[in-house]
Amino acid sequence: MKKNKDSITRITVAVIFSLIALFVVYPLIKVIIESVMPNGSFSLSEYKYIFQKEWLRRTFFNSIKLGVIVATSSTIVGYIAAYSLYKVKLPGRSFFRQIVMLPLISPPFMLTISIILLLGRNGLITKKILGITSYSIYGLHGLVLVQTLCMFPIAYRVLTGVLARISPELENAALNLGSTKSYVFRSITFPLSIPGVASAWLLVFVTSIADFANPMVIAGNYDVLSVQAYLQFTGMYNIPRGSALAIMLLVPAFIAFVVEKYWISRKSFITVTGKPTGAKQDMVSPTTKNLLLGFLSSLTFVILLFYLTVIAGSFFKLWGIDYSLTLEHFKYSWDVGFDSIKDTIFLASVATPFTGMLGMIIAYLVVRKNFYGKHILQFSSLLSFAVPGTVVGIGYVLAFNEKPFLLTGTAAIIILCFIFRNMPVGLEAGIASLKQIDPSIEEASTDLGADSAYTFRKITLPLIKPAFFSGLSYSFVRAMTAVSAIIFLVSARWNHLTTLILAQTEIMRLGAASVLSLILIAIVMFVFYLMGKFIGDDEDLSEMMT
Amino acid sequence: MNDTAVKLTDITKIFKSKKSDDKVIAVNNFELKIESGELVTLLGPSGCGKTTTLRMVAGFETPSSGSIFLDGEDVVNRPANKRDTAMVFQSYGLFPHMSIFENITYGLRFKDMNKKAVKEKAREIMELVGLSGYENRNPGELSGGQQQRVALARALVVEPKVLLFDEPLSNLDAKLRESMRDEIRKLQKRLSITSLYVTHDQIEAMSISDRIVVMNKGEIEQIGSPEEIYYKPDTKFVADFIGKVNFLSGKVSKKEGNSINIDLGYNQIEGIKQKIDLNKNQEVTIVVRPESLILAESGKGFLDAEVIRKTYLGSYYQYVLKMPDENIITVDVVNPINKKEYNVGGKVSVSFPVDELHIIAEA
Repeated sequence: MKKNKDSITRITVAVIFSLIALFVVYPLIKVIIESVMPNGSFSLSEYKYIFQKEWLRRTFFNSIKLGVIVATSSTIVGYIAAYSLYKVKLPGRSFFRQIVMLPLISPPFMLTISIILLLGRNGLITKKILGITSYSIYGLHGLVLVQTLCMFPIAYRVLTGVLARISPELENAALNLGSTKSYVFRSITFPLSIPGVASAWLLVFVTSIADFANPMVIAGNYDVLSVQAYLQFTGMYNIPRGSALAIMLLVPAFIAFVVEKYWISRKSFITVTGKPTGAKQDMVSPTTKNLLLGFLSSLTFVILLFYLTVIAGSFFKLWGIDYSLTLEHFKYSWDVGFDSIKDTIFLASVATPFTGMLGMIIAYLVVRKNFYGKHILQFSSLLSFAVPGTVVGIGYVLAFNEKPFLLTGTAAIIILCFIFRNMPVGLEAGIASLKQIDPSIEEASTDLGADSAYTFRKITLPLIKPAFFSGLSYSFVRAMTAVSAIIFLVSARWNHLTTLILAQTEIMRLGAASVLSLILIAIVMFVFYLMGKFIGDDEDLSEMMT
Repeated sequence: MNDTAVKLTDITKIFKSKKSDDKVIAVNNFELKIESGELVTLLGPSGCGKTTTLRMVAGFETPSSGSIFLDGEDVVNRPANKRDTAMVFQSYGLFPHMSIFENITYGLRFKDMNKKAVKEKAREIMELVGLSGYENRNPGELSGGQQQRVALARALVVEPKVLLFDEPLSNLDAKLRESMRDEIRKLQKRLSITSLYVTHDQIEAMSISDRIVVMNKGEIEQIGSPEEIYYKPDTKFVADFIGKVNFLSGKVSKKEGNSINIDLGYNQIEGIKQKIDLNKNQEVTIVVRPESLILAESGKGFLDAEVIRKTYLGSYYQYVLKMPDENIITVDVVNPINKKEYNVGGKVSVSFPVDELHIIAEA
């Protein structure tokens, strides 16, 4: 334990603690205070009111029900995809692996736009092909479909990490001892992956109940907390009620987060240091293999169909009525969207490097340094992952609308929100990557005369560069595709592309919404490509460290 | 030459357990002086506190109490990067993103040196450790032995007041370990550089050290030259830890001047030169190394025993014998080619030169 010796570390810890306190914890406390002090004195009247009125009470149970259904369906889809792509030798594996990750880098409600184009009142499939007009996609079923497609990659990513690390040797050993292939799955592979299943389920659950944009557009009469909190807060100016609904959203998300972080992840059988290994031999029968291939092909077909629909939607004059080709959506989008595009790129580009650096610095402190309150720092840094965007948005409005922290209407409030909301991405990547680096490499540097700051810059940072850049990429994507928190923070001067797309979708200008979505994806992909270049150059480096 | 380079006084290090309020005493009342130019080894089983002690000297750990002096100056509150020490790490700790040249000259970045001097210094040190020509390679391209040399060069180049070795050879294969060991010792002597060396390998400790500190459970068991540690262990722990050893327990039955007799229960050994202060009737343990014992046909030696196992080990035969009191002892018959062989189950007789016995008083 180092005591009073490393002043750079001490100052950094103090600064980061203050920042986290101000931009993560303080807004949260503001929301809580607002919800329990509606008239300036303590009262639980708002919560009472919400539970007395059936239509408000329902929003809570609707959110939970939605979360449970989507978490379950996404985990199942994610598991099958992960198992097929990491434990079975399927043709076209690398192609499938890229396709299933696609929804992660899209604006959150792009699939909703597609689904309206395909299955809505004027939908291509419903009206044009099948001639149905009485069917409505709006409601729980549409929402479940869209959220599952959006969120199964989250489960997929968690589960590939787990499945790929289950050593084929264990499965081979079971086969060698006389087990059948299906019994190997039931007795070895699946039991070992259960903690991963639980993690995946909880992560999707949190994401689903926190989702704002999809329910906003497609939930119909199925009211959920995130939307209702927004409507109460900004539509009705009922700030205490909006806050109380936000807190009701926060509680289940927070519980799920804590259970995942501090209980499930400890149950894991698989060590994080284990190297991912591919399938050495198929653990399924040829029939099952064909079924899995069929499943993946259908999944891929649906994902691609949804993307192609958005592309098509950009060029057809009036979807469902007039299928003639036109560029007028592009012109219109350019007119209404140019400033938003500019703003969005500016805001995301400014926030991203800070987000990445902050994540890496905290990761370094947490993994390598001993200081008082280390666990609190790690917990509160990851906290913003668990806090639904709606809660953050309301918190920022409440916290930063008066002196000394008057920030409403500025670019700063949006940038700060991005930084502290997205920093956990880089933080987690940084922690994982730092744990792989032998501490004696850094000790050698200190031993030879370098101080902590120099060691961090010249030794640590270059070694965790791949994690740093992937943290950067994802921070950028999240900044580009954020809606739920940002919608509270945009202003006439600083708008965000996603809120513009949402507005266009709501007024059913789906052509423009499609174009703007495509532009957003194009920007994200371009940045991914650039970051990939950076990481790619250092492949030998990252290989050397593992 | 004979001044104290490193002095550790009354060092104690207590770790708090992460899970409970338990405290673990990693190092207790540690006292050591290292003369300038000397190589001292901390030897002990894992968890004995040897690495913690080394890391306290480097500045990676802070002692809970006590002082550390480098060249007479108390450095206990000085951070690792301001201490004039350099460590050779167990896993080398080479910077994987830097060339060998950059690795070796890293420590010189923090000294006021011009580029030309740095280059010259690096050239010198690389020649010394046999790495000339590898300047532009990356650590990943070198073999384990070469990486070890880089680690050594990188520590040597800053000319530290004390060179610290943390089990530097444990990642090398047996043959390479021996040659690197000799090389380190040769270099250390040639440069006359004060060194503190940590290992759990007793052969390594014996072959490389001027003095050995045997540690157990955070405390010093004995400090001495390799010969002292081997032939005159202060405690049973030291005797047992360093090489194979036989213990015979007995009681002082007669004391005359500085000669004593010890009663083994089934036999009596007479005329042992007294080396420590012993009283009549005191319980003692006799320490005798397997190679000191001599085998003869039954009845022709001192103690009769039964052969229960024999193993051929090339340069010697190892016999395991059962004594009349069921005690098991080991005898090494060195260079056995023309010596009589005894079979398992047969009776033999064991003798030993009285002056090769070492006595430890029982507490």
